[in-house]
Amino acid sequence: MPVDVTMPKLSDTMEEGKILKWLKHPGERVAIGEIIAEVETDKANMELEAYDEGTLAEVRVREGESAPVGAVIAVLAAPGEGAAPGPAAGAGKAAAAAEKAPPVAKAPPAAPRAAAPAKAEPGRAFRPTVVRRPEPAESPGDAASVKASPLARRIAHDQGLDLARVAGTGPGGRIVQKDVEAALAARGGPSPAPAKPAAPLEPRPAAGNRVDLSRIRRTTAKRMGESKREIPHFYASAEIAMDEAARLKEALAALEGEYAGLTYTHLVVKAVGLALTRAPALNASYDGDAMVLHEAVNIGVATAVEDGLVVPVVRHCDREPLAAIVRQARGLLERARSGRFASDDLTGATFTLSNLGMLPVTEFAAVINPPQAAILAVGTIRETPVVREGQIVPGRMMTVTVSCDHRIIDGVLAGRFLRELKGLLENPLALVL
Amino acid sequence: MSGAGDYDLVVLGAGPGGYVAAIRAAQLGLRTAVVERDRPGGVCGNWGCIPSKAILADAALFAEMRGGARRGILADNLRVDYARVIARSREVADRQAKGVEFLFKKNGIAYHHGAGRLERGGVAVDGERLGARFVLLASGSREQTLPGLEIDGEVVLTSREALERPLLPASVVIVGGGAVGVEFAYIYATFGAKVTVVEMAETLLPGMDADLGRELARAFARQGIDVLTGHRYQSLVGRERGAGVTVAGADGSRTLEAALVLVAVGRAPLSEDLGLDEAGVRTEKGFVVVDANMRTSAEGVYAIGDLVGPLLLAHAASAQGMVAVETMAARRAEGQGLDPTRVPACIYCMPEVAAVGLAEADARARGHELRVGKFPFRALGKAMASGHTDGFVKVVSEARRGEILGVHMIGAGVTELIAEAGLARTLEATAEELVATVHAHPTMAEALREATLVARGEGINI
Repeated sequence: MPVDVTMPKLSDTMEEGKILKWLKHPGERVAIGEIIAEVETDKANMELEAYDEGTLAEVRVREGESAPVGAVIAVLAAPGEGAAPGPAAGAGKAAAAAEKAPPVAKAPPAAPRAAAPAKAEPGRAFRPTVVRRPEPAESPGDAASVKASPLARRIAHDQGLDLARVAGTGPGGRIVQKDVEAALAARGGPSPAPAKPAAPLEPRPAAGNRVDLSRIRRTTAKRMGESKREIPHFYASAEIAMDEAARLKEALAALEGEYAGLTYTHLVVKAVGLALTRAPALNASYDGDAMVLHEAVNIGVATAVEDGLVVPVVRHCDREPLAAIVRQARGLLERARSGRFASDDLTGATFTLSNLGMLPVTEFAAVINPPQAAILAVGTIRETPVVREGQIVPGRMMTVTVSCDHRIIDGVLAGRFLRELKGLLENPLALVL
Repeated sequence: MSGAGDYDLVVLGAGPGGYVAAIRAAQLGLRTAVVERDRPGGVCGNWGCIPSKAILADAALFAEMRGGARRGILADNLRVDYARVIARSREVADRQAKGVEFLFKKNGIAYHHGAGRLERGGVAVDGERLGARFVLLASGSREQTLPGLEIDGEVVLTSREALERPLLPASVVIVGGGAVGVEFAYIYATFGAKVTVVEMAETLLPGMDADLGRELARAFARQGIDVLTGHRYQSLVGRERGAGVTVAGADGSRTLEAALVLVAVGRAPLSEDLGLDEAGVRTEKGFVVVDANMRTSAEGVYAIGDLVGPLLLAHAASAQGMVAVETMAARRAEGQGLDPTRVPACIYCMPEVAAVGLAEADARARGHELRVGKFPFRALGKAMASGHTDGFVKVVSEARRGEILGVHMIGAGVTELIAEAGLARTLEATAEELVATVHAHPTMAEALREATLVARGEGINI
């Protein structure tokens, strides 16, 4: 039986993907786990891995073209089957349509949902390609034909919510209770999709020319605009003496082994993780008339890549030991550099860290990454005279600035967070204990 | 065979969590191995669900035949060959284990017999090293006991020993009125023993809707089983040909004499000897800590089932195994884990007990405004016809939208009926859809619809 290969959803905000390159061509054999194409998403370039073996029978989206999430982009013939499936083998309506008009961004409105597993043509095996993830496809559809649970319909009806505008995360894209509740929350508050961070970026070089923005840049532009329009930001800064942290970093780095490659960012991530458990209001989201306190402490670390900025997520920074954070961060950085993230590297952050300390930036304020409630901007560590016990001595100081969503965070909460963070970095033994 | 490239996944434990996960992994194209130190099937297949159900089915058959006279079915010389009952139960368990081994072969899963331990980049099995990208910990749990109730296999037993013991005792004290305790109470009482169940909580089956435990205690009283709720085990005296168990309640303490003491006070995770600390796998009170997708704190290491608590149910372990493996294969979205309020729990004494979702008290504690409906089986034609009128179905629904928050059943055959309630929870059906579903008449299943009608104030047959 031929198997449809669909455009996978590779990030929370991805709506469509562009085929950069087919690494397999019609007629070639494909083994499970082999990379068959490179895909550009709104966040990064990712590899598309085959989950079935067979022969690549047909490629439906050409290199350089885009297809919405869930659309069929290629067909695999099972081992032993002919490479080119005849009409009887199931080149049905979708295929015919695809031949006439390749599925570019203008695909019919309901396309993402229509491509969901439950609607696969009979007689055709359907397997999602890489990852099946909640569908935030915002395509308007026909309310009557929307798949939704009875409870979801009841709640939507009570609240006057148009189900056609709600993305379903249940089996086959069915809209369930939590989707409706998320949509209701989004009506009053920011969109629940986590995304781009805040830190400024090296300007693109082209002068005087109009340069098309990369997909990453376009998402960043949209999200940052929304954040500043929607969220009442306020800022609070603190100066932190980094002498002890520097000594600890050197001592640990000298141990090699699991601390090889330890950076100040790793120390700050761990310190922020612990500080957030003591000031949990900053590890939260504004959600209409509620404030959602997150149990997990997952910190997105703004990372510059060739065509913009990505925010890979270091998980459980509160309870993971420092060595594990170093390991996580190292893996993320390698994947960021190669532009090839794993499916969940970019999702689930509850707080963001933007460190420009490697550049001569003494301090800056970052734009909040919705729906998070706060972001920490870290400046460079500078040698400066400080007064200690009445004496002027050389010291190493670092300025950090936290930007907060004033709808749920007040100044005193930001101050308490900074007090905890300062204490942890100035007496950093707690970071390794 | 050693090195990082051996397998994509090594599963430690071939119980209902591990073996199901391994098969799912093989389906998804992961090169998979299973390590088991005992034999396939786990507690469920060998020392729990399956062999105990064989004995319970025999007890129910015996009870039915013994009660036949009032229905015009006469038999003389009705006797029990308990050794044969136990032997049949062991045969069923043996077949179960062989079935699992066959499934491994069929799915191309490597099976290693031995004790597995986490190592960097894989698992060590009795000195042999299996490299793996992912490790799934599914080592399960063992019976727990209390101080002074050390298991001797003669007078003081857990369910493990009781399942092999071919002799019927004259009298039994059962410490613990949870699922295991009440099942053995029914078995021993039905086959003629004098049984006393001691439970610390105010009702039998603590953790479930309190109406279930109360109804079961009434049914047990009719069967001649003594139930002492609100009583705490104190101490054991003597172990020669029986023992005395001292228990204390609100009205003071007393000593219960019995030939056998069965300890059924829960299960403890088998988390020692897996190398968890060295691998950086975090535990809490012995249970492995996991996120919604069943990841532990160590990269690439997942854990499921009794090892992670607190559901301690075979089918929960299987479902968690699917979540873990599908997450490894990037087929499962972040946070789409197992919802415990969609996991049914079943108990197989007579009357049977089954539930899914929130108990009434828990639903109230969560701030829901409720509509609760209860329908007794004695008002149902099929129950009267079949002579099984004990028990009821109770539906806990949310008042405004009719969400089915919980369904709680006690009666004959309810462990099969609960599946409909589970489907209703999963599909997010409301009371309206349950009522709109035509139920065949006469069936026991009508009770679920009738109870839902009662919750809506529209009861027909009551």
